[in-house]
Amino acid sequence: MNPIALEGLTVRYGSRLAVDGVSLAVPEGAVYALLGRNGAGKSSIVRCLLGEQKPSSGRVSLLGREVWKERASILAEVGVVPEDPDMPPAMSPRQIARFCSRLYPRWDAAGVEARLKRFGVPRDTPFGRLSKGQKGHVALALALAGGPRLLVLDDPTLGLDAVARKAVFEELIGELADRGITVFMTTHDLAGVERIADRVAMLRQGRLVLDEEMETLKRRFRRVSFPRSQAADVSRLEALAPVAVAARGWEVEAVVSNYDEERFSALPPAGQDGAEVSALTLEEIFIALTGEEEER
Amino acid sequence: MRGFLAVFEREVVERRLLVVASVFLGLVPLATPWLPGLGQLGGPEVRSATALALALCFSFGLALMLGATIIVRDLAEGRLGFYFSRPVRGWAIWAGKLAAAAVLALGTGVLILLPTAAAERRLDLDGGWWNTHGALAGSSFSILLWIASVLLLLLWGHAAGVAARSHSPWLLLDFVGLGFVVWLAWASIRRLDFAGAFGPSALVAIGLLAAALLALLAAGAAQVLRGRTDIRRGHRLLSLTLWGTLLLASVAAQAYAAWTLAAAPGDLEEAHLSAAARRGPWIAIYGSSRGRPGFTPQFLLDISTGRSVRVNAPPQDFWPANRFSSDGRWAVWLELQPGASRSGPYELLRLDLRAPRSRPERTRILYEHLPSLLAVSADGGRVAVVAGRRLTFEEVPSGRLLASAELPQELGRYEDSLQFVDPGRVRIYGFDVLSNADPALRSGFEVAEVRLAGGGVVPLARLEKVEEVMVSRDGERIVARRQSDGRFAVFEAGTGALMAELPPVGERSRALFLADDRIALVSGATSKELRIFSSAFVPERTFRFANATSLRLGGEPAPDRLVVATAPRGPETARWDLCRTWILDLAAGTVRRFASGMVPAAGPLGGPENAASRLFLRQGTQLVEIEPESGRQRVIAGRART
Repeated sequence: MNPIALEGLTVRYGSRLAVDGVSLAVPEGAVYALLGRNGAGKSSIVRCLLGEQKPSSGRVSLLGREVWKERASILAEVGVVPEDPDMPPAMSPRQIARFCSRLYPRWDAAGVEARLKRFGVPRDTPFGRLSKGQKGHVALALALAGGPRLLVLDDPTLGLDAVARKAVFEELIGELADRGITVFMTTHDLAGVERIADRVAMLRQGRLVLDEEMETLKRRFRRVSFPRSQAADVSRLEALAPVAVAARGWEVEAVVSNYDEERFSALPPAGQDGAEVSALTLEEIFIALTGEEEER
Repeated sequence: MRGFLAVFEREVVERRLLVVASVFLGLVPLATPWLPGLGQLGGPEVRSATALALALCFSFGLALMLGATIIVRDLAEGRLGFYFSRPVRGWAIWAGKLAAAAVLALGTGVLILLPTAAAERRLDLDGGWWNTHGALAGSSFSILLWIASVLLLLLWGHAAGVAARSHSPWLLLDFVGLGFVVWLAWASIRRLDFAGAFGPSALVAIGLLAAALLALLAAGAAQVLRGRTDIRRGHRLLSLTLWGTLLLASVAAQAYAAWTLAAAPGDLEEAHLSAAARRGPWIAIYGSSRGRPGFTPQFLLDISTGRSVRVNAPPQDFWPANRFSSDGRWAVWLELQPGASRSGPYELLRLDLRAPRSRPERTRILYEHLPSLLAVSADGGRVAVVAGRRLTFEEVPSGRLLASAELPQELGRYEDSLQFVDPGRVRIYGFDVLSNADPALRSGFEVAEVRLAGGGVVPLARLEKVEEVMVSRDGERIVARRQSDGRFAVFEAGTGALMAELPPVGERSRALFLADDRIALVSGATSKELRIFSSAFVPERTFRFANATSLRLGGEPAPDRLVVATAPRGPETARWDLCRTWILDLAAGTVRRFASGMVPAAGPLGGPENAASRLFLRQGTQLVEIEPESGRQRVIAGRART
């Protein structure tokens, strides 16, 4: 059973289509990163995933059950970090933790205290007066305290500085190593997620354009740089079926999505002259795939 | 339940300062006697009134404010997800927050009242302006009303808050829905009020308020449970639930009003006779009807054909009864003018009783205040009313005011009857103002006349120290008992001159005019004696009824035939359910028993041409016509008690 399964999920806001027939599955124990530009539909998917919003059509299953109908019982095993921490501003982290402890069957009060201490978050200051980073840390500490089987993180590092981002990811890595929790995460912090994600999906204008293992993805994508003079030979460039092409100074860079070393070696010798092949970061792949529309 | 309690506690704790504020506010009334200008007004009353006013204002204001914010602010500012991303059921979020708001609004009110209650050693929720109309009897009702008002404000605040902050086009539907539902509800209540159905009208008003409370509760629940963190979807669900439910309730109210007002004489559980035309088959009846508590419909009924017309007026003491013209052609009565409030103006209506398909006809005669007396001329062409201290004459077909006269203070207040003597003269009969409540204080029975020609009020007669007065059918003679010697005497109404003295009788006696101007004198305690005197006061017949402690005179269904009912003594009062009904032959002096358990529905003024002289009440609830010769019975309206 996949902890998360979406089938043909569609979300409309009036006549605007925010999510268009998205289907995906997150396997047990995976760290799944859903990437997309602002407005791509990530938050709508998260809201549907948590049973906060009813999809216009399609099915959303969480831990094997339909989340719209069984939200409260399912969420007892799910930890959530929202995009914008939404705790009551007048309550202190300690009060919020006490409130939450009454709602979860398993609650690690000592763990919350320890994490907040580790993050350096004052426990008795009203939530509204905490910094953005501290709020994120509180949200993460609470999400982990209920002993979740599944973590849903909606851009947990949004607006955090580098140190805070690092702390969040380190905490996550530690938890994942300890417990093997399944994680579903949306984020813009591609460098951070690249270290921990097993599987990546990308959304563009509400549609899922990519969903695969991180390793496969990174193996599949390569940057091929040609001297500008040779790149003018279009037939050679087309043979690589690039997903993005950009001219930089005396070079032309092509991002290839189905890189195959044997096939590349088999190209006519002229094609190899001066050509350089290099690996791509997740961020570069993301830009190549989702920035394409705008660049064109 | 765990989620509900957690949410409830959190909301209360977060707003704990309100509790502190209410405790301080509760101390304010204790200081009022020392405030400038209030010290001399009487300490306890000022303290109580201040505490009550503060408590109500604070709890109502708080209910509205909390209603508009306790969920809506979180929703609009994107913080409701805090609850929805945790294992808390939707109902627990809705009910927990609502209960917390209600407890805060009511609890702070109680906290404001407590110091004053402790100081006064009582908690008087029924005092002062809170209960000025006497309708709110008992503290429990006041507390219930307070709770209901707080809940209504709370839920209304929530609905309004969602509508205002969703920035959704459904706001337009809200305005349309509000307007339409209020219009429908108001129309139902007005319709019932107009028909004098004040009981059903109050029932509809209370029912609609309860429906509004339930609809707001259900709409808020739908918004939170189904709309969750999506304020626009929540607003759509709230609007659909709220206006759908209220529309159903308003339509149900309209249907109930229509059903109530569709009452026919056949629906009457109890039927009573209120008037009868002097000639012809028309009578006016009223009574309670099935499934319509608090509504006593009134009908004009042709007992020969069964045709009926409902009269939109309550058959109550303060409302002048329907009048029939002496020729039996016209019926006139007063109704609220359509669209008017309960306080008027009132319109005169009439019905042509001889036209087979006639409908009530609106005259153009309006009265600002409800008249206390109404009279119609013999041909139905003119009416006279007394409203306040003013008597007016109107011509019915044209609606023209013919005359108006102020009743002088020194004549006292005429409130017994008003009667046309001829088309140009009307007489007012009544005891003077202070006397009606207590017979011992009755000082005089007065007769005055207002004439079209010449105008003004002309006092005609004043009978000092009399009681048990009856005016003859033509209004020219009065029979009354003199307090001085206990004897009945007949007086000329136009002058007050003594015409005759009837033989002395005991205390439990009465003298009454019959339809043909003869006089009946009823006397006796354990058995009754009925003596008949001619119109010239000559003794004609004497009838005796053994074992009868009460005797009632009916009309004369045939010439020289008088109906009488006698009842035996009961443990406390006479047993009219065991009564015997007799027909007396006044010419031959014979007595014939022709029914049991039938009490004459009308008094002795009905003659042979008057349908009421053949009508009887069975068991006090069923109106029955009895043919005097054959004894054949026919139920007119009402049901016999089983």
